[in-house]
Order: sequence, then C-alpha cells, then structure tokens
Amino acid sequence: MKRKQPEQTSESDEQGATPGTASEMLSVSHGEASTATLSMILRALESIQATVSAVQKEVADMKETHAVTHQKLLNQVLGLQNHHKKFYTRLQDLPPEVMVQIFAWIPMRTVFHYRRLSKTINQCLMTRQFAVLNMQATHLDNDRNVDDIDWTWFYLPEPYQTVYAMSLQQIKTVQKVWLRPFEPRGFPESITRLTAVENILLSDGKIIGNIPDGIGVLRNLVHLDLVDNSLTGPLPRSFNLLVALEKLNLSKNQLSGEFPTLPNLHALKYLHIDHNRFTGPIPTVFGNPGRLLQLYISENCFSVIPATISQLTSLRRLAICRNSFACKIPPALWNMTSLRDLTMSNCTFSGSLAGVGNLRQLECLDVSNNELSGVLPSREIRSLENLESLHLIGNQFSGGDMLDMTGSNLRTLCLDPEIKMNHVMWQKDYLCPEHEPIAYSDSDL
Amino acid sequence: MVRITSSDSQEFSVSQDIACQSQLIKNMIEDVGDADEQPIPLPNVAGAILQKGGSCFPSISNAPKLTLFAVIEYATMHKDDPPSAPETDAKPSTSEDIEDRDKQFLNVDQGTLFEIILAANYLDMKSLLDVGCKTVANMIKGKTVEEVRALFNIVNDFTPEEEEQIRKENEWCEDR
Repeated sequence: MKRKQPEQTSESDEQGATPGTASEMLSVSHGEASTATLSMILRALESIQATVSAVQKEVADMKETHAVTHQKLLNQVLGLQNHHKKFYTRLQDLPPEVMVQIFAWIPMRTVFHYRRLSKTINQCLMTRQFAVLNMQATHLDNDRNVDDIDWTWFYLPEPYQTVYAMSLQQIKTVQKVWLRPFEPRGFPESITRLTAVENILLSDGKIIGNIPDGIGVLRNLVHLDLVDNSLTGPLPRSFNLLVALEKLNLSKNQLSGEFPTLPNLHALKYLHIDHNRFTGPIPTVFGNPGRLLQLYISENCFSVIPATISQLTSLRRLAICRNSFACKIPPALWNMTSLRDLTMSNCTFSGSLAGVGNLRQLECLDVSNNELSGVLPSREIRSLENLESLHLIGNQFSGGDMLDMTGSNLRTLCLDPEIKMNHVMWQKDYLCPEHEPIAYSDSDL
Repeated sequence: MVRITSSDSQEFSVSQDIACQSQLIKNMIEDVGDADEQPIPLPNVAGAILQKGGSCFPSISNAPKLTLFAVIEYATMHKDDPPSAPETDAKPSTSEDIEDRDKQFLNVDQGTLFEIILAANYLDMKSLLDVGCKTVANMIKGKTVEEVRALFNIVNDFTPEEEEQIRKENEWCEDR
C-alpha cells in the first residue's frame, strides 16, 4: 500500500509534463520542419507511453496480489476462530436450554449466587423453566413429604416463587423456620396459590405493604399469624371468604381503616388485632359470634363499642386498652358473663363501674386510667370470687362501702393511695408496680 | 447396523440398539424404516481430529475426544442399562450420583465436555445429557462467583450497579 502512493504521483507527473514538452518542441522545430526531429520526438513519446502503461500494469498487479494475500490471511484467521470454536466450546456457548439443565443440579439455596456470573446466566436462572427444573432436580425430591415449607421461598425471584407455590399446592403449613435479618418484602402474592394451606405462620417477618385481596381464595386457612410485621392499609374485604379461619392474629402492624364485618367466618375463635391503627367500631360481627373466645384490640384508634358486643357470649378475654371511646362503659359489656379477663385501661371511659358484679367468672379486671367516678361498687367487686387482679388506679372513685378483700383470691391490687388507705381492707402489703397492661396470653383457657 | 455421519463427513457404523439410545436417531429410523440404506447425517455433531486414547494411549486420555465417537462409546457402555424409570417414581437424585465409569468417561477438558453435552442435547440422549450437566454442576458447586468466572473464562458483563442490584436481591442467600 505504501508503495502505491508515490507511484501514482510520479505517473501523473509524467503524463502532465509530457504533452507540454512535446508541443514546445513542436513549436520550436516548426520553422526548420525537420522530419527527423519530429520522428525522434514521436518515438520518445511512444516510449514514454509504454513506460506509463508498464507502471500502471505493475500497480494493478500489486493491488491484486495484496488482495489475494489479504484474503488468505483472513481465511487463516477465520480458520483459527472456527478451530477454536470447534474444539474449545465454552460454558457460555451452550444454549439456554442446556445451561438451565446444568444449574438445575445446584441446590436452590445456593444457585442464586450464580446470577452474578453474567447477564446470559442471570437470564437463564430467572425463568420459570429453570424454576421447574431446579425444583425437580434438587428440592422437591428431598422435601416432598414435608408438610410445611420454608419461609425463605418468599425471597426467591418471582417466577421461581410462582412455580414453587404451584408445585406445593398440597402443602398445609407455611411457616417461618429460618430467620435472618432480611430486607423487607411485600406480602407474597404467590401464597394465594397454596389453596390447601391451613396455617400461615409468618410473625416477625418484615413483611411490608398491604395484605393482598387474593388471600380470600384460601378457603382452608385455619390459622393466619402475621404478628409483628409492617403491614399497612385496610384489611381486604375478602377476609370474609376465609371460611375456615379460627385464629386471626394481626397484632403489631400498621393496619388501618375500619375492620370489615366477617359474617361468613363461622369458626373464628381468636381475633388478635392489637397494636394497629384500626378505626370505627370494634369488630363484633362474625358468622358465629358465640364462638369467639379472645378479642384483643388494644392500642388502636377504635371509637365505638357497638351493643352487638353482647352477642360474643363465649368471650373469655377482652382487651380494649388505649382506644379512645369517650363514653360511659356500655351496659352491654356487663352481659358478657363468660369473661375472665377484662382489660380496658386508658379508654377515656366515664361514668361508674356499677354492673361489674355480673361478670361472675372475672379473674382480672383492669379499668385503670379512665375517667370513672362515683362510689366504688365494693359489694359487687367482693362478689367476684375468682378475682385475682384488680386495677382501679387513675380514676376518680369516691369511696363508698369498705372493700374487704381479706380471704379472697386477690393477688394484685392497684389503687390510688387515698382509696387504699381509707376504703380497702386487704392483708397483703400494698404493691402496685408501675402500671402496665396485663400480658396477653395465647392459652386456650 | 445403522450408518451415521458426522458434520465433517466421517461415517460410523453402529448397531441399532446403540444408535437408538439417541431419541433423535430412533425417531429418524422409525420414520424412514430400516430399508433405507442412506447414512443418517448428523450435521450438528462434529467429528474431530483426535481420537480418544483410551486404553491404548492412557497418557492422552484427557485429550479432546472425537465427539461423535465419544458419544457412541458412551452409548455402547450403557447399551445394557435397564430403560429409565418413568419420571414419577424417579428416586431422589443429586448431582453427586454419577457412576464411576461415567465419571471416568467425562474426565476430559472443558471444551470436549461441553461438546459432548451439546451432542447429547442434539441427539436427545437424556442420560448422557444428565450426567454431563451434573458433571459441570459439580465443577461449579461450592465455588464463589469469582472462582467460577475464572474456571470457565466467563466475562462479567454487568455494570457495577447491575451487579450490586443482584447482590442486594440475593442478600437472603449470600454469605451462606
């Protein structure tokens, strides 16, 4: 290539110069009219032309040679490439359908490390096809007989989760068995594919966001425990479709809105929704209200206690602390004669405590820090033979008959000092620890 | 006997029960019938330059194998295997479940291994494909991402941000 350039230049120089020189010679020699000179010049011209065409041919030849050499080299390179390809196939040369079959043999818990290998491999590992293969090869065969599944599956990539859920349709229990400080995640929609599931036990799981409406398809769900997550928003109406539900435990979340009526839930026994942000009337409408044993709604923003609460005829534990009702204690409450525990501190109740004597089974009564007034219903209180714990502190009671608790089962008594001094007889030393709501118990009573 | 030819026109004659371990060849034979004396072309399976050393040349047994030749060798080795059980009652298996003879057979360089896997995939030979994939899986298992990249010469084509994103999504399974 380098040689060609100067050649071309000199060639055009010659061509350009030759006619000029010839005509000059012609004009000069015109006068003499020397044919000898003329023929000499013509011969010179011819020889120059011959040289030019020779040079041109040489250049053309060189071009051709170069092209051939170039082609040869190119072929050699291609050959080498093919050779390399033919005899050194690499992992990433394998088609995706083979790639997934390789990674399928790596157990589920570790295979996702390898998403970082390369883009192609990441794509392969994020397909449903891969999920199916991987589970067939490494997971299901080992776990097929296990009746509950590992919580970690919520952290699987979505396609994997869906396939996993579909393959586990007979599973009865979804349980958190392996806890780590995970990143918060939304409620896994794919859980709604587990139509046979009876228990979803995912407390303290850092689940954020709403409970999906699709949860209503879980007709076999008996126990839903989502305590201590970060769930928000209202409870979906579809909760009313969870016809088998016996225990609903949503305590310690940030759920809000009115609690839905649940007229189809005929089996519900335990409803724990304390420490949320529910508003409106407290839940009292259930398919079979006479079945409910525990209702914990403390630490919410409920404002109304409907009279229908008296339909909860079997209720044993009622905890409604720290809601703002700003009314008198509803008389309906005194009809709930199965109550063992009644805790309703910090509820801005006013009026008197008269009627409490109806609750014959009462073991624990906490009405502390309200605005109750009037005379202490000493005789009614004394008639509660099973009473072990009594919290009346932080109200404006005004004495009345002497409350003689000597010889009773009482173990904890929490009273304002003035009442204690003048109106109560009890053998034990006055002991009232810093007031706190009575601990919840999950015992079945 | 069935005649098959590799992509580089090498012809092999193998007995039908060996050839039919390839579902592809089996289907072809069923389609055209025995009468057809034409060799079956397998344009996707390379022959090769180097024949496997085997017992004659133990020192070069790790040299690249003749792919089709190797596949035939595998098929011959397994011709008396019982037909594979239906999927439903397949026993639990892991990538560690590889017969010793297969382990030996697949003790080859990476390029050859992947060629054999590709051939098994093309020829539709499930048992060979499985054992090949298991072998590669075992090479990957227990290694870090960086080690696997080095082992297979995989180029990391993620941007640092993309890789960080995956790392984040994987937090639950990393460091285990």
